[in-house]
Amino acid sequence: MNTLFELSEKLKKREISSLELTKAYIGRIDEKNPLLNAVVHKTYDKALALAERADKRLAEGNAPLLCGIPVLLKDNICSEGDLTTCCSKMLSGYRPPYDATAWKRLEEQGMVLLGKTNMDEFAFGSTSETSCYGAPKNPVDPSFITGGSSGGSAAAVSAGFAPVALGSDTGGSVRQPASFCGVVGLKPTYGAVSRYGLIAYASSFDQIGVFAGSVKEAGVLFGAIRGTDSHDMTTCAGFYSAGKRQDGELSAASAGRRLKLAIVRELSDGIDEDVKNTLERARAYFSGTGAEIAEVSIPSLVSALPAYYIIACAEASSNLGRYDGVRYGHRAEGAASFEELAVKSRNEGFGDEVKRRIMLGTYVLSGGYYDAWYRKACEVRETVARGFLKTFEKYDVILAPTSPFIVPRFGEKRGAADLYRADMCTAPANLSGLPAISVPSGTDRNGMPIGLQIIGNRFDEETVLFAAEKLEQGLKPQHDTWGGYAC
Amino acid sequence: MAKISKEDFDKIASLSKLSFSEEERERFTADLEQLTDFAKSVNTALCDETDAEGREPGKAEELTLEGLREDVTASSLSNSAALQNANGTDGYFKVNRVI
Amino acid sequence: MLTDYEMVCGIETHVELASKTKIFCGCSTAFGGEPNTHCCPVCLGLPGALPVLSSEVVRLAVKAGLALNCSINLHSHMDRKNYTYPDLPKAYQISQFDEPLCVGGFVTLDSGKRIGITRIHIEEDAGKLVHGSEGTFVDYNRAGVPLIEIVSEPDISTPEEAREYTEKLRLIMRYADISDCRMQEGQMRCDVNLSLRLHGSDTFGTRTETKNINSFGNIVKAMNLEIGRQAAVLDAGGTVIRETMRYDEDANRIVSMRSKEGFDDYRFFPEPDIPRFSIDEAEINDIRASIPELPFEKRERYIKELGLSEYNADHLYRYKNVCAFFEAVINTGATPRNTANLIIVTIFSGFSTEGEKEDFDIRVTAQEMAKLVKYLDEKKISMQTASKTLLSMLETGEGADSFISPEDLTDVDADELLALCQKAVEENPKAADDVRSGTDKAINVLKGHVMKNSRGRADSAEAERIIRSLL
Repeated sequence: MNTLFELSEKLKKREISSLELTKAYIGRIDEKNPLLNAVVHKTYDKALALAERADKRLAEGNAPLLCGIPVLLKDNICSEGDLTTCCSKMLSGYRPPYDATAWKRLEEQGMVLLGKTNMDEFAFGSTSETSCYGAPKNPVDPSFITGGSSGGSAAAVSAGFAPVALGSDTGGSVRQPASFCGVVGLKPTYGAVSRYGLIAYASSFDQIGVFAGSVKEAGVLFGAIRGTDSHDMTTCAGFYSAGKRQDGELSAASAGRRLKLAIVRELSDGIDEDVKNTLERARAYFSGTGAEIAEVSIPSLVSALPAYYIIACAEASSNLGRYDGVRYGHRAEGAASFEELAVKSRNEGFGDEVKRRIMLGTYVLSGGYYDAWYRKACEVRETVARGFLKTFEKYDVILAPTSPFIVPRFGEKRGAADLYRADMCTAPANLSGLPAISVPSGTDRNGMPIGLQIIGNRFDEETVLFAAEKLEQGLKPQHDTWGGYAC
Repeated sequence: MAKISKEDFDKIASLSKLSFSEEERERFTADLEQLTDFAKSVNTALCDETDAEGREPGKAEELTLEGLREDVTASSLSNSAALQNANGTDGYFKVNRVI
Repeated sequence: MLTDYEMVCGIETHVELASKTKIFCGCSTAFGGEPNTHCCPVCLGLPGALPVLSSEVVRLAVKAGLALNCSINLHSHMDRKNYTYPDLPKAYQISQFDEPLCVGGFVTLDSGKRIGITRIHIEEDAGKLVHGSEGTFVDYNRAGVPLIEIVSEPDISTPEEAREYTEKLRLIMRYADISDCRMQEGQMRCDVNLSLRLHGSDTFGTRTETKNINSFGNIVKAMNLEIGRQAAVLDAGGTVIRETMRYDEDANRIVSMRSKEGFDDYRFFPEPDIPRFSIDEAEINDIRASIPELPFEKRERYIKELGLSEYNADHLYRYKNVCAFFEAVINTGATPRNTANLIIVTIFSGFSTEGEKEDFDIRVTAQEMAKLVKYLDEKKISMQTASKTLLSMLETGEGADSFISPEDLTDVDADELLALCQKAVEENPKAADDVRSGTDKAINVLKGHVMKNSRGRADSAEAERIIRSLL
């Protein structure tokens, strides 16, 4: 499978045109997607038009690196005039009249949009099985799930439907499916990438993330979409001064000094044996490179997952209040009043998991419960943030598992508690707005991929990517690429 | 496990603008109870760690007036673009009778 | 019996701020316009859209707070108020719950009584519902228009006080350019909360809320009806239910909108899409400096420093445009008294509505007015002439000199005046005899003769003196 850099070279040398490249990827999608169900809406007409435009630019010379290269967007990222449905019946037929900033920035670079990818309905989930279009399948072995909620984007990159794809990560929804599908998944610092045009799940956690075949490629995409946006007040300039960390110190990469990694006890608690072994191999590898690596404890993390769920569901219940069938989306028939229209449309449009989380969110915000649940969760959140801050004073990054379990098969019995525990290694980074990346680091007893996480301090993507690249070099799986799987 | 009363459940459903059949109500009440059970550890979580220097890393930076948006008009959507995903009539969105 | 009870009343006033754009997006706030043409993904609440707070809205709200004697919170944030209604695109209103921008102010009534202001906060307006025969239609042009909500303390004791309080609020908002408060455009709406209790009681009765009253007359009517209704309930031994009422203007009745034991659970929580924001003392001082002289200060100054009568001051101070005109005229040196008189007696006589006085759209410039007033000041013309000339000026838009010729402006000298008086006595023998025999009123005939023949140039008092001496 070609990397971004290889493709870019070929395009610039005119060895291949963007139009030819686009048609090749379209061909691959049409061939493999019926099995994998990674792509749910195709934007082929737009793709061909964008490819032609890219070709003109490439002919003129001086085109950006990403010019002419295809990309896929998760079905919750708006592109003007294209179906964007969050894989929910509630938004069936919805075509936004505007572009998400992240997509717009890629379009300006000359990228070619092939379509929208499968996901858990409204991003509520970690398996992509709640999609109204049916679950996507893992390209490594289609009898296994892709993970979620950005399962479609992860599978698409893994299966070679596009060299890169965008997803969204609220509690692990980019990193976990990346781990399950054997690709790289990056969740930026909260506020690094504009959320304008990302259909909201939990406003203070959501970030648009990147799927790619390698850490370097993920870094390039991140560079193209990041930055303040006047449409999103939560974006901030952060600290992008090359080579410096938030506290003014030189980053490990720039200082050329040895990396200091922490393994947080609470993030490796009760994980699967195979995952544990992978983590151990990573530790040994880093030690061998001369890095300092030690185990630390952040006690407040014990309450991190419940705090995350409370706040996320609270925000989600509010964000999803607008779906009533009046201005867009599914509109129920036969309703006599507005009240009835809203209730009927929502009952028909939302799946069970969405209803559950809305109910929980409403519950924790409702009268009498706010202080005990929501306010308390916010206190836990602040405590966790302080815990991370203390850790990053001594260490550059944290090394952690991405998923506490190995990839499940379809139909495997999973308890409800397990479903929520799936986020235990990833949600803390969302809770504190930290950048985190999952890097393919090994395989499990079923031959399925296992990814490991590098988590860094806010706006320290540079060190995170630096450490992630080291991890990638060290634990690179035996095969060259994950492409061209069993499917 | 804390029980959620029928009244509480109905109130939450009403606020959420959702309605449930009897069977569903039972199922969802059980789910909600399980969820709240899972989440209740926050109620008693110890949040006594204070930062020695009084830093509040969880709190986003405050904006000043200058950081807010200037009062300059931007283009709006055309009426057809605004209505393109809805049931419109004469440029209006249509709702059934509001009681 | 009504007289057994006293009323406790507080008013919540929503005022549309005079910014060009909406509170969270760059759509225009202009009134009118085809439905759903001042909308964008943000104010329509489209999936994925995000609010971006306007600095002008914060400034205007702070200005309102300062003009109403409030303290300003240096740090603030927005909250979500969650409820479902078709005019609310996001199913939540972005408002302020526990950290309003301004707190603790007051408005002073003419009686000297202060009506306290609990708080002022910023929030977004909802769209407009239009009810038709085939259903309800929604126009979101108004959704996102910036509002301040001014909450008074329950200090209001009578419907007349309520009226005065809201009228004064409006005056201040207009004066300080915070809002035009055009009532017919719904730029100012009042919700009246009132309850009754027996005289001397110190517990509060159950209150009802009457929403969206949009004229001062209706405030008084609605309140009187509600007071009557509550009194009747209490007299009959019943209890007042906490509910929302609506004033039906056409039928002049008060109607219950919905009866609830509790109230909506709004599930307030801090708005995650908008960071906290702060304002510093220097910015507050700049805003304070931008507040013009407020109406009551102006009235005081007109009386104490400019020597206007209370009557004249009262007739001028509430109209911003009139005062601006008045002050421009007297700044050239024209006397306040004569200027005020001409405005109130002559110019106002051509107006039939309050609106016309507020707009004060006249064809006379301040410079031309000043010229005319100066002629009057220098006694070159009489008040009567000035008034007539002014009417002509208003009608034609031409200057004073189009109607007054140079000869009209020359003084009448002593000889000419004596001659005129003698002529008057000669040509009006009956009137002269009447005066001599005691009917003093008749002197006016003789005076009038002199004034007419001098084309108003003569000094009326002097003429009278001479005539009397001749008789």
